Amino acid sequence: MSHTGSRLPTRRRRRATEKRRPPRPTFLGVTGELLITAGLFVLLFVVWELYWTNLGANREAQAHRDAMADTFEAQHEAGFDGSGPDPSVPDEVTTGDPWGMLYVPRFGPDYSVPVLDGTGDEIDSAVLGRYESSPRPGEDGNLALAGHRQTYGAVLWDMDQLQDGDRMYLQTANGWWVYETRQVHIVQPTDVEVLAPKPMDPTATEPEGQWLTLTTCHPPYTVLERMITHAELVEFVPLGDGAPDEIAGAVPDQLFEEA
Amino acid sequence: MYAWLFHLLPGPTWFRWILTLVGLAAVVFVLMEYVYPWVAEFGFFSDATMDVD
Repeated sequence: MSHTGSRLPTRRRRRATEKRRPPRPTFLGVTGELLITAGLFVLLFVVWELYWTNLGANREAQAHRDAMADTFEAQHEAGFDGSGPDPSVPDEVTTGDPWGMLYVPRFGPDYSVPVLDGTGDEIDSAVLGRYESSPRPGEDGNLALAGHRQTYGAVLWDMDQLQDGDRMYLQTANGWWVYETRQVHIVQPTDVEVLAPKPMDPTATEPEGQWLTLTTCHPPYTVLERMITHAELVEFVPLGDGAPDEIAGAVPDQLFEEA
Repeated sequence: MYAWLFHLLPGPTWFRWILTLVGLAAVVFVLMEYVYPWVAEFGFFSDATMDVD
């Protein structure tokens, strides 16, 4: 009888030790756990793409807005009436410095996105980037801008909401270039004629009229196709006239003051 | 494997949990800041530009 009493504590002790020291990992066990880890790795990538990139991008875009408040004041040319190329915009697409803001009321009353040059990693910060082939506002031809659909601020997420006739306002140091949407369509990534000087008439070789083209990816979350918007210049509003009513709420105060 | 690694950590259980959480946070941060931006450069998921050369 006495021996059972002495064995119990031993068994209990052994069970406690087993709990602290797990069995050595087996090949199958390690493989399984690595597969689960790989799944989490992919899941986290989605979190990064849809959430993390937007955080940093919106911060950077805000820094661009602040920077433009200063450069706009220095670049403003009193008396510019929109006839001829806008002197505040770089003649050649070179650096990543922002030179404009795009307002699209259809995308929301507060929608304002900095515009800068370049379509590489320059656009990885809630901005729109100007294609190298693009002229300045005020010049005949096709000013094309690229923007992300679902990452980095997702600036063109709502492009499918745009309707013919919707206005877009491109602000520079000198005023607002007002464009009216003429066409929203989906093309293959290789259909570069959307960047042609007269985008809705690919046979035209000479620039005719002033166009604004936006490109983004489509369908969302893929790189299969591109969604394209073409808009045509209808008006120029000098800075001194104040912001057009439709975007009055979206224009940051510091970009309002005339130099 | 993870149970085994957890067992290898020093200190009492509550300390091991803290180590684990700190380690996980570090891994997630490195993924978010360095690994995923690098992966994204291959452009599987997001490309807003036309294929101009």
